Amino acid sequence: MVGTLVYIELLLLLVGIYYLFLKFKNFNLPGLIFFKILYVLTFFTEILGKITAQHHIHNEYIYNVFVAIEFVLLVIIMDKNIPAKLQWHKWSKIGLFIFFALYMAEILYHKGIMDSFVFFSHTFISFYFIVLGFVYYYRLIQLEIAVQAKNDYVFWLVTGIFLYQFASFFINLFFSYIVQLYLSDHANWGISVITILRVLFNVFFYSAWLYAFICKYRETISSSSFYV
Amino acid sequence: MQVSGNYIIFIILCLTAVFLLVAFYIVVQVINYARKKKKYEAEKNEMNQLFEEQLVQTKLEVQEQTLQNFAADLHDNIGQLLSLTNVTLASVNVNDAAKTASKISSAQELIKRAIKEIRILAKLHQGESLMENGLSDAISQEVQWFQRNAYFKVEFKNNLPDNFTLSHPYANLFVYRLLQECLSNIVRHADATEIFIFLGVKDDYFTMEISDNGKGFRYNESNFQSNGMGINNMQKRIQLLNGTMRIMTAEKKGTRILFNIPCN
Repeated sequence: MVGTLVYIELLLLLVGIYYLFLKFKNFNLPGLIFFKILYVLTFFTEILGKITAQHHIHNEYIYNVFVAIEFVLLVIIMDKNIPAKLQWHKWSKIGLFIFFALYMAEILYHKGIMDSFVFFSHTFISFYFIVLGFVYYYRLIQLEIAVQAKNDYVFWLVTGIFLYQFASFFINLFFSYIVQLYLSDHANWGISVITILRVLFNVFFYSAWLYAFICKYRETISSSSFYV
Repeated sequence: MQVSGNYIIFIILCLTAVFLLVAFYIVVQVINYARKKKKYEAEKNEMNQLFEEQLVQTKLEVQEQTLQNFAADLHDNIGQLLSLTNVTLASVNVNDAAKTASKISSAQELIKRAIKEIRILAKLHQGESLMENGLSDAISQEVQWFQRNAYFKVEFKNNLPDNFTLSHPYANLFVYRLLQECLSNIVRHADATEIFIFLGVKDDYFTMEISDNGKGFRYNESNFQSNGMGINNMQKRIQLLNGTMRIMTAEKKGTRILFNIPCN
């Protein structure tokens, strides 16, 4: 089952890359370069992560670096795409500031990035994007002129992150505890189920973003624009 | 320890499942809300468009009716007075000083009446601008003009407060046109001799009743479009104002039309 889900995840990621590099070649998707970096980086990180895991090499440092870059890219992407009238922009800077404060504190506490995963920074990322989701939805339904949410690419960008972070909130929160249980050979089934769930949530995330790209592509083709 | 570990993981998974469902629920609700809002907006725009169309049509109808009244009055009233003046002045014999003075005096009297009639007609011709002094005043002017018609005995009971207007921007003109339409129908179809018009306000509803003692008609609500009396138009406008229209009529029993329109 995990294998099938991983293939679906990979496929969605590749289709996303196809859209970003080929379909949007002549269209203006705000922050396109950051989307491209994020997708390519995610793809290679996942591959690298799998290889190192297969060879039983510690790979925390890969994910520690990736988490920081991923967060910065996601914040920039959201900042460039969420319309000004939804008043999110000031929270981008605040979010980045809090994240890096936590990140540096954790690195200093663990004396480097090699051996321990930046757990608190990762939990903050979940919290940040859950809040972003709620604030976005709240302001969206308060807009004077209604937005047809199901065809709006920004809605699906936010929904992708929101679904992923909201659904995986408890897994992220207790992840180190579950790993401890796994390492002490108790409740081994837990790590398998959680791996399946994480891949499943990734599938939700990439599906939502792929649909967002399709919406943006259609919108650009038909030259129509929301939020006007 | 193992049981406890399994139990904790089970709880974490249950919470994850709940959060996943909640996340989906929130997203679905936002989509539904946005869809309903969009639909409401579309309906509102459609309604506004309907209002605009009806307003233009009503303005045209009011103008047409006013011009018809204008033409009828010029022909039947002012035209007659001026013809009579002409005949009177033509029959003046300057050698008969006493009769000449009397005839000139009569001609002067006729001219004065014609001027008075023209003034009333001019007021009527203001049409829409009559609304500036309120609906009550506009209807009173219309009824006043109608009361001059010798064929009908018109009883007008106006219980509206001074400067009364309906809050909807188009409502006053629509009501004014409803009255014109009803009076026009009475003149054209009813064979009536007596007309009763009542205006009043009750429980935040504006009420207008127009009844006559004419021949009445067979009223079929499901087929009012084809009766040529503009009832379909009246019904449309009343619906746009969220009001009601009741027609009570039977052959040889006269007609009574009752309009109820919310003031706000």
